[in-house]
Amino acid sequence: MSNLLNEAGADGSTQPSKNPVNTLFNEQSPAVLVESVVFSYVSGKRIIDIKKWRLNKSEHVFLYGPSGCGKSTLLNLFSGILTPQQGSVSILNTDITGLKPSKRDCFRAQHIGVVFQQFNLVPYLSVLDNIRLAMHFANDGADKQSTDKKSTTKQERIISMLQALQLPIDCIQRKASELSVGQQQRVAIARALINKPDVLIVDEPTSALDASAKDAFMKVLIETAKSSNAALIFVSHDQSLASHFKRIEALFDINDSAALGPELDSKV
Amino acid sequence: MILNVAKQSLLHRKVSVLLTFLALLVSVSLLVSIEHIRKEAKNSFYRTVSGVDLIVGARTGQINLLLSSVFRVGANANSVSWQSYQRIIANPQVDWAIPLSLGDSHKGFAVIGTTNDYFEHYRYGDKRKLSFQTGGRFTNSDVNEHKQVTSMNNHFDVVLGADAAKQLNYQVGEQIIMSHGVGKVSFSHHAEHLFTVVGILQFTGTPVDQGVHAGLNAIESIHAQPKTSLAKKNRSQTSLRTSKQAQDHNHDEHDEHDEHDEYGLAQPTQVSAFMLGLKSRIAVLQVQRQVNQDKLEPLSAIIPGVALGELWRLVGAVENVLRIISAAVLIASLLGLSTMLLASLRERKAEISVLRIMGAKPSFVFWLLQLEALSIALGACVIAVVLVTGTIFLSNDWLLAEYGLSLSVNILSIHTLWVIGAVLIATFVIALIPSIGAYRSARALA
Repeated sequence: MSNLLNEAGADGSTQPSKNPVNTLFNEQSPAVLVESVVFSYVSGKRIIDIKKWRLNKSEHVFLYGPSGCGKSTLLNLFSGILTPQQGSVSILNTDITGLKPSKRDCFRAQHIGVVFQQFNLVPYLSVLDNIRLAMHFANDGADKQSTDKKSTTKQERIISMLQALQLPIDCIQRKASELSVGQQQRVAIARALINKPDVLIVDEPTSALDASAKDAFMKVLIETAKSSNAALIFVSHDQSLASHFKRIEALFDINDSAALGPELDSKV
Repeated sequence: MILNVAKQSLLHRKVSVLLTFLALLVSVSLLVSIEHIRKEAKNSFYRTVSGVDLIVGARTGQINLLLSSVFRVGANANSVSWQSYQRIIANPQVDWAIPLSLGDSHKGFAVIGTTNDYFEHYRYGDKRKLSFQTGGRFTNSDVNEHKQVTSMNNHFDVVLGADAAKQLNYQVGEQIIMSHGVGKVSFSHHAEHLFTVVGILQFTGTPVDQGVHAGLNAIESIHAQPKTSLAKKNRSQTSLRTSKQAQDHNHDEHDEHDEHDEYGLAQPTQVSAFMLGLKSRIAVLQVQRQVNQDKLEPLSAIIPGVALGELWRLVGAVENVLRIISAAVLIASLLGLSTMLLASLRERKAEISVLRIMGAKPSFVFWLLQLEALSIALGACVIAVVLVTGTIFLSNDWLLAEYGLSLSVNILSIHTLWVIGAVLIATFVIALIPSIGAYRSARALA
């Protein structure tokens, strides 16, 4: 896998920002900046070793990662669920490794959206409640965007989001577990994007989908990510999906530990 | 929001939640009703007699004396002579006295021979006086009963306790026949002694309700047997007559009972026990010692409150066993609740990771599980209170009729709230096991 585009971030997808936060930074300020990060699990070998990696605002990147190169660990570092032993992970110039755990949870709710391979929703909650819950966590700490979080506008936003994702409106009251996998994954995007995150992290979202659903899902994902101005980190082992991206990188190019070879990776 | 999540989560696990809920409901109901009955029993127990400073009887144990004089259970074989009675009440410290003559029954209800002082001075509950539903006190005996004035026409007055009147279905003005001895079946019917119901007491929730109160002189006269004629006694024992027949023969019979005059009908020879009210409570111990050390007759004086306390300690052992059993049942069901949550934790791993990625703090997961446990427990407590209240409400009449138990329907006392509080705290503590498990897995999530 070649490293087509480097950290300069010359991708054409940057759009004028609607987010007031973005106006505080110049075009070159990164959405994600990883510096000298080293991570290993307790008494395990080093899994992540990244000198420097950055992602600009609204930039989309495809990270190619076969299983066993520290992919999930890296995403958990990006989202602040794990913290590295050394180095720093900054999202929008905020060093999340330095935040208190509770602040970090709140920061994640407000600035980072994550879509997993599967199990993205609380199964016993309705689609509406799942998305509402995500909004609740984002509003928990700071009251950013509190003005447009009135319940009526909330509902409207959720509906328009679901419409953009081509989901039937009548599914809003249904339990997440009653939806098809393809629908669940689209609801997951809605849930991840509802708080207008600055970074959207997507991990193998299509592995449970068939070929046609996969293509439709990718289109919807890229479009909604673009329209919400979020930087997108898309991780997959499926190279056929790379065609949707301009910036494509191999995970073991940026992760020095992974370069040693996947077979040495004990935990993914 | 967390409330809604907890609610949906519980609904999602309907069956196991329902079973856990039912287990808790049963144990909380058990605990609440045992506590309630215990409290009610203790209350009504201590309410049985109040305002009485001393109870005096022939020498016996204090519980024996209390049981026979207040609860009309068992009988003291020995009596106090009339002379001793007079001597003790002559003590300047004594304010009033209620003589009691016990050991007789009428159709299974204890007959208490006493004076109008009984209605004047006896107190129960919070120093409440006896009052009448209908009718009034004895009319044919002097209020100052120590010198008896007897109706010579052989009619005696009787005042019934509320339960006795209700169950025997007697009205004021009705004439009844008294029997001698305790028990429903009595072998010696004193058919010649007719009693007229002159009053029915208000319900008190104490043994007074089961009492049939007659004048001391009346009891004395039905006991007065001819020493000279054993045959007469035998005859009167075997005579079984209805009230009507008795009335017809009333006059003739009485003529034959001239022994009453021999015995000096106006003068009782003995009493079973008597209650004393003193002018000053400070004198209680002093008078008690004087009575206990009486040189002329072996007597016992007891302080009702002290004796009640001792008796309750005897009875109390049983209620403690009940309490321990119900607490054990509760702990078992709480452990069941904890197990249910713990077992669900594995299937909830994915859910917890979703919550975390949405930005939930580990504490959210912790409180989610606690909330689920606590709402099951709280639900069980509320339904248990409703259930127990309903049961008491529906069974109150039956309990009263069958056991003379009157339970207050209002079980929501401070005490019950304490029990519920303890249940919730216990739930919290036991639910810490799964909650901390969930918290840990939320923290260690990778």
